[in-house]
Amino acid sequence: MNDTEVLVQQLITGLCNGMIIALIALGYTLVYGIIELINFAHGDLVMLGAFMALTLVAFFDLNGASSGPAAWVGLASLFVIVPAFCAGVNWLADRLAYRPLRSAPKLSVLVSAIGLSFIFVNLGLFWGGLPLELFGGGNAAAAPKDFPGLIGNTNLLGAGNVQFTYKDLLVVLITLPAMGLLTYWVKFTTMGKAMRAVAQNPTAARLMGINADRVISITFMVGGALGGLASVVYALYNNTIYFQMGYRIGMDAFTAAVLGGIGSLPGAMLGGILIGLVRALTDQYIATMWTNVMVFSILILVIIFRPSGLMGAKVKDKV
Amino acid sequence: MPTTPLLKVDSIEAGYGPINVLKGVSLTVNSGEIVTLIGANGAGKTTTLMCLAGIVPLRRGEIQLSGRGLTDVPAHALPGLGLALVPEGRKIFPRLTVLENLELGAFSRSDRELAPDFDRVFSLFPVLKERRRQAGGTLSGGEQQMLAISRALMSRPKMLLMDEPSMGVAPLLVEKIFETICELNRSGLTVLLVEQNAHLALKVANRAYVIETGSITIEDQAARLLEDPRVQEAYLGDI
Repeated sequence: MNDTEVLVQQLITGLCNGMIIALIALGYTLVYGIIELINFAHGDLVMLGAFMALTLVAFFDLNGASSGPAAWVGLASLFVIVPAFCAGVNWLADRLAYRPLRSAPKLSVLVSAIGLSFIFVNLGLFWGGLPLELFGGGNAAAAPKDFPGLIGNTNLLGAGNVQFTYKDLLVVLITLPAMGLLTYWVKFTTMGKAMRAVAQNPTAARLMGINADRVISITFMVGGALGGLASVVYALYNNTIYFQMGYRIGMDAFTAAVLGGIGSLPGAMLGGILIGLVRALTDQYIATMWTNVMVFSILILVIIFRPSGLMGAKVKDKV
Repeated sequence: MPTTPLLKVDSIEAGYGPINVLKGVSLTVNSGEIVTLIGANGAGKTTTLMCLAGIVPLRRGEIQLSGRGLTDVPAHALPGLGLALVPEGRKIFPRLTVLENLELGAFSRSDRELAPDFDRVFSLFPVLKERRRQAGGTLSGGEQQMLAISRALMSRPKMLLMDEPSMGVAPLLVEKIFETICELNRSGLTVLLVEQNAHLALKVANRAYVIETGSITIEDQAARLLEDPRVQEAYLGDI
């Protein structure tokens, strides 16, 4: 590989990881946009989604050698069941942990989110320790689990040094339409407009006949579904899942949302892709041990110098 | 036999925290009327409207719309029953366009045939048509008030509650807005108007209530209150 090929390869890797991060960042930014809560449990929700995906893989008996219609149906079902599962869990989280605190100080809700994050992590640990012959990584609860390579690694660019595989293609084919659909939904549907209305002025939204609680529930479900989709893509792309993965990927996604301007959907997408690229380029040109340092330095610098992010509106504090 | 009033408020009490702002407010509004509620700052005018719109919960008393009790009706169900509020300070959605604001005004309606309603509000306030693609937050105070009124009309209310439509609006536009209120009333809309500008309110209203520290103290024909020395002294004084 020459220098250019290395760079192009890292850009591909960075973009793909970045688009996964972007899907997760959208979940942070949607919820923040509507109730001004940093949902710290969101990354761990993605982790639960990944465990759900692995369980389904075992249930459908899928592996790298699977082929035929049954395998395709099984694979496709991951993209339906896991987002639905994550949407449901996120709905439940809001219903049980956040809605009772709707009029409480913001800090109380934030602490609840952190608590929920711990609960999710422990559920993941428990899930990983189930005595099922499902998980390639064995039954040790905390051990990383192998996620079978259901998507091939064939290079679509032929015999060149730069690799763009079916896996990379999968990321693009899932994440881009999801972002497009979300943008359409928020911009043009009545429910999307109602969501923006609740975000901008909940009282006025109620005066319009909008059931704010319902809109908030739907927002959590949409954010959860995107997280679920991201978890399937993540697992198929990286082929390893573990119960603490939500913390790392959640921090990346949260940083992406802040970098883009929390509350802004295009911001979260741009931020996610940028964080993916920063990770890949730091891995390549500095050293992997500096990658997290790089990401968190960006987080700190953005908070200090441009708290509204790259695309966020400069909003006056509601007093 | 007296007809059922469109809106009947029966000795309601409400407030925030330990403080009762409303201490038994009763009033009625008949179909086709403009009724105004005047009073000093902090007397409970806005709280009364917020109770009517279901935003501030009642502690005692009852509100009826066309004879139907509203006690268990959540705020978001009221526009569907024909009750719309133009809130104090307008509360338009600043980052939604004028058109989107109007569309959300019709959120409670089951039909999506909004074209006639757009035509209607644009003929009432042509400036909104020019600005329909602009974000609501970029409009002037008067334009925002027009938008807030139009947005409320999109739900096709039987009754419009208006909270301080003259506040923060240039004098010329205030006139235009009050003319429009009369015009809407002539076409059948019932209006309950809360105003600081008592003179203006009493001139357009049929009947009026005066509220002082959470209780109704005077109730009369608007024209008579304009001549009432108590009202003249307290609310119409030349300042």
